[in-house]
Amino acid sequence: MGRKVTLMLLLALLPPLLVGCWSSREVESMAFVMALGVDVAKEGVQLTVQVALPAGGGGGGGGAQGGETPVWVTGTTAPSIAEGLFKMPAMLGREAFLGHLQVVVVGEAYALQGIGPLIDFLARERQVRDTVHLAVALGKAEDLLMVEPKVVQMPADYMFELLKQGAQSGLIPPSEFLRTRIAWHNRPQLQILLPLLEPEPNSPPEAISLKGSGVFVDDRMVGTLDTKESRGLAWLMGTVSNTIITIPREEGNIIQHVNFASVRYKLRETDEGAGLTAIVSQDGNLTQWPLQDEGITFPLLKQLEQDLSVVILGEITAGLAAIQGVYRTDVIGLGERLRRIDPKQFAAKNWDEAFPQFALDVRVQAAFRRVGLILR
Amino acid sequence: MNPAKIQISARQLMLLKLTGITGVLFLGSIRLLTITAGAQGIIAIAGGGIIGLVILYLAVTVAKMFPEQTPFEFAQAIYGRWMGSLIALSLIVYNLIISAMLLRDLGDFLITAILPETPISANILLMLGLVCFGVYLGLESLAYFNEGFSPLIFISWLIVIASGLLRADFGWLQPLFVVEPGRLLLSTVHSGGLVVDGLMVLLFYSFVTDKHQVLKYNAWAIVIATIIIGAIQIAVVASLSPNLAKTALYPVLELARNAPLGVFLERIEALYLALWIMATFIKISILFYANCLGLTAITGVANYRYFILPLALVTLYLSFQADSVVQSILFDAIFNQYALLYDFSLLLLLLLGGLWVRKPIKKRVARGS
Repeated sequence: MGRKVTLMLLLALLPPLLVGCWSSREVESMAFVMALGVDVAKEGVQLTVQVALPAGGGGGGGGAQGGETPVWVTGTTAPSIAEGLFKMPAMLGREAFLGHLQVVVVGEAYALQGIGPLIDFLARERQVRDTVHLAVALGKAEDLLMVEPKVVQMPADYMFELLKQGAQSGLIPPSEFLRTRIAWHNRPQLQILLPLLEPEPNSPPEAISLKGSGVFVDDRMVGTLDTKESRGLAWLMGTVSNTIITIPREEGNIIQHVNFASVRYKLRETDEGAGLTAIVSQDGNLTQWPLQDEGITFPLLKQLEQDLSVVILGEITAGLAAIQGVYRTDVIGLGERLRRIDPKQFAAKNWDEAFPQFALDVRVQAAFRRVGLILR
Repeated sequence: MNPAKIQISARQLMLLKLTGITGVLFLGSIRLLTITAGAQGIIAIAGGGIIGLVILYLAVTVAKMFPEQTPFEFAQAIYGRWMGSLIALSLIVYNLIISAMLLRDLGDFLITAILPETPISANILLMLGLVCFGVYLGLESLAYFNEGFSPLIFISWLIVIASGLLRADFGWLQPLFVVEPGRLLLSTVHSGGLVVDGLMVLLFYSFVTDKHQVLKYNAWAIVIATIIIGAIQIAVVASLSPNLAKTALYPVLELARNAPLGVFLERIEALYLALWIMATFIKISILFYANCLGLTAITGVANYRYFILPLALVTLYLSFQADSVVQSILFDAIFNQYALLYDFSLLLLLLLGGLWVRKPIKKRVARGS
């Protein structure tokens, strides 16, 4: 029996590998696309790819050595994204492999025109993962892919980390492609919100600035939010986990390093029907105290927490005013929150029309949990 | 080879059943449940589990009446040679359809998600070849092989579920208990068909050495499988949202791809897939083996191995009946609607027939004649 089972094990495990030969790809024949840029072109789209160069120049085509950049940025134009990528081998001399794709950047014009075809392509393509980060470039995506950062060798790694940490700070929204897909399939009660990036005006550009958020209605970007408004919305989405807040005072600024924030929603009845109350909780460390002669006392700290709440509430109000008053699109998913809590009330509303007037009451509970290593 | 000499334990049968249910979840079952019941799939899955337990009880009750015979044999004992053979043949066709659909689903999955340039025929032929070999080695070998594999399959699900739940937004499951009754019923039927798993217990009861343990062990198999299916469905819905999950062709694959182990070990879904493909092999082999036994019982041919190749050819033919993956999905959905009805009808037919046939025997025994 043991021999039979061993034989079965070998035969069951080894032959399936054989059919893989059909779909096999040699490393030498692949161009690893680390970042992809999509812009509008006369022909349709302009694709820009940031391709990793083989280390040590192996496989031809030169390599990343010494201070040289380890990527090659190039592009093509085509009627569609799929056709553009299909044209790539003719230009790269290798097949574009998207399995290691980390960041996809769309140009401002493309975002205004509509990112639906891109979402469809990325979701359908088996090589692309939902963990890819998606962002909008102010200007052209191509310019963003040209940035040569000094901190890390691989520009895509830099953008990836920038987007991750930017989302933690709330200055830009989270950018994982899965979030975009989820929003795309849960419209209108949750619309797409993407980070906005812009290259620093150096020559050659060496860094990227976080510029806030791109606000979408369906697949079209309809406007932008600055970093303050973006963080206002981030409080309501519960995505802030590492940021700095400044409380302006006559004596000087008091600064809190936030390391925890959350939000919960409660249903409340209003004259116009159902509304929501958002309770934003946050806490963090006191990192700057300008009142040199005054020690930190409990009543004073409580007063500062009140001030902190006002600052956060200001950010939230600014963010809400922009999406409800100006762009009229629910990018933070208030409709989805309402649907979860009271599906009947939600179903009774035409959310596109109801959202701008939707009553959201916001309460902020801010706290200084720690004050650093000194009390004065 | 005399099938009567083959013996497996109740635990091995339980593991075969568990592998048969959970090993193929990556193909289309979760999609089907999510499309019909959405975020409330868990209710349907729980209902399916209860149906599964009822059918298991019925199957064991029927099998106990003829403890040394396969259903193909005792169908003839109850209803006579021709009618019994017809019933046995229906069971063979039923298993054949499941095998062909599984093969096709696996082929579709491989060319869609992993091996896009490999012809589907190559994938199906290779798996079919393996299945033929597995069936040739027999039930005991498959049972032992599965005994080694099933813990790995179980662990793979635990990892996928745990890492999926870590990224989940449970708000997507709200509001609870809001689902159209018709869709919930349909989803419960799908789920029930899933955990019944082609009447595995009925097919192999006669080969089990410790028959008194069969009901207990297989009830556990259904309970565990229901928990696993429920947890996967929750993880899929809570991490993708119900609307997105409904659009995904392979939601479990999406879950596995998006759920890294910790934050450091990514792209390990290939490991899970290797295990799940093996599980598919075991499930198809078991169904194939049952079919060979069925044909042996109908035709009276002594060695079941003569039927391996003809059955493989029929399965191959059936697996190519769908023109595209979309039609393949449609076939799956239609079959799943009626599978449970067939399971239940067959068991009822055998149970009533069995009671009818055994009554005079009992009376004769009571009279001492």
